[in-house]
Amino acid sequence: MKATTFVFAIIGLIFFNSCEKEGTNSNLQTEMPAIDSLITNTTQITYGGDDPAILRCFAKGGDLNYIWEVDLGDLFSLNDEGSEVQFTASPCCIGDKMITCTVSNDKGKVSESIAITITL
Amino acid sequence: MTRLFLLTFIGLCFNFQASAQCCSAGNPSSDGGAIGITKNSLNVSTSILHSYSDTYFEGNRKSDWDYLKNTHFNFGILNLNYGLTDKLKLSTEFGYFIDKSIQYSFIDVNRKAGGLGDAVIGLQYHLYSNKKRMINVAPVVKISLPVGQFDQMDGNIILPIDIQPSSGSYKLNTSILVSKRFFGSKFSLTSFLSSEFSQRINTERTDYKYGNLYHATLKVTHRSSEKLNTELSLNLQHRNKALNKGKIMEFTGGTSLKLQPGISYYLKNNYSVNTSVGIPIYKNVNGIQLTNKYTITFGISKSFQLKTLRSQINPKII
Repeated sequence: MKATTFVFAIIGLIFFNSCEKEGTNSNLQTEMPAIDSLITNTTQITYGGDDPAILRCFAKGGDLNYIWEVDLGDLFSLNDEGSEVQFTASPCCIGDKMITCTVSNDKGKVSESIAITITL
Repeated sequence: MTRLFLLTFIGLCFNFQASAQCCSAGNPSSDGGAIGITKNSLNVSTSILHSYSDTYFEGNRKSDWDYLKNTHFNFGILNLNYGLTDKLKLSTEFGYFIDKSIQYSFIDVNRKAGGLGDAVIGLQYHLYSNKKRMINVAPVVKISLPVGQFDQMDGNIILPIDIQPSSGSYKLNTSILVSKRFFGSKFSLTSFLSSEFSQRINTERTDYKYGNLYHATLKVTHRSSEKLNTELSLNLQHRNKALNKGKIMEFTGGTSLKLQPGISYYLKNNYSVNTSVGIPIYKNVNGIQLTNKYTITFGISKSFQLKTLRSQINPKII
């Protein structure tokens, strides 16, 4: 009887523990993030909103957080994960713009940049 | 007391020079306020500026170009002026963007930012005073410190520099104020010439230098009653083209002329209120740019004469 109770208790603990794992990210296995590739559908766009560049960052590491930045121009997030953005610019920003994607998790962060040229 | 009253009254005439939205971050630049202040007197003023821009210009003509639907900001400023001597005035400004927003015409996104802008510290020297001709001249030197936020985010996007609350750049502003009153007249004239030079922003993300900014303002003030001043300003502004990574940005900078009527009203206990509306009447931009449509300012001010307790104790009364 004692042995049966003990076995059920162990199974219960394992089941309870595994449920918790699925519900939160706190125990998610993570490793130092790495960017596999940062791609764009075009490296040259015309100023304005009609001709955006679509950029996507492919990364691994688990529980990833994506941050995008550019000094001039406008970036808009396209998915909930944040790994895909569109880039447009007003006429003031004509020239080469460097867009940087930083991927981070609890193990660290890594960045990669790509140049987009805005033309007349 | 009369002098303090006059200084308070004139001190309200604090104009903002809101420029076109594109690539102009940080505090809207302000003029030098009033000439002079008495020793140990303190003037505290706070103002709210609302600015709205929704019209694209190409050169000096309206353009049907469409990228931003509109931009607007509500900006608060706290201004302190203290008379170090009867000729030397120390001034400080702290700017705060209550909100700063951009609406795009091609995507349903309303991008917002807000927070502490730049801080400004300045010195004004009452260089010349001719009581016969009623002319006063005062040069002013100001330094802007980028103490505010320059890395605000919208979701997972770091906002571009033109919507950040702080300019991210140290600035030097030199100006000269000239005022002229007329015997037996309720009218007075004030002119204000200034130039602003920005330090190059050189960070990992940004390599940018704002174009030099030049202002010339002519203001006519009419003392309509004991308590009411009405005024009309004509503000000419010119900004040079900006530099990005050492290259000239052709679609930045330009010239604008703004008409700014306003009133200021003196209340009890050295309190004063003022309001003004700025309407551009001429705009000539480099390339295509979104330009300002109007600005509205409301301010309140109070003057204190510090260290007055000693003079109030009159031995003859005792």
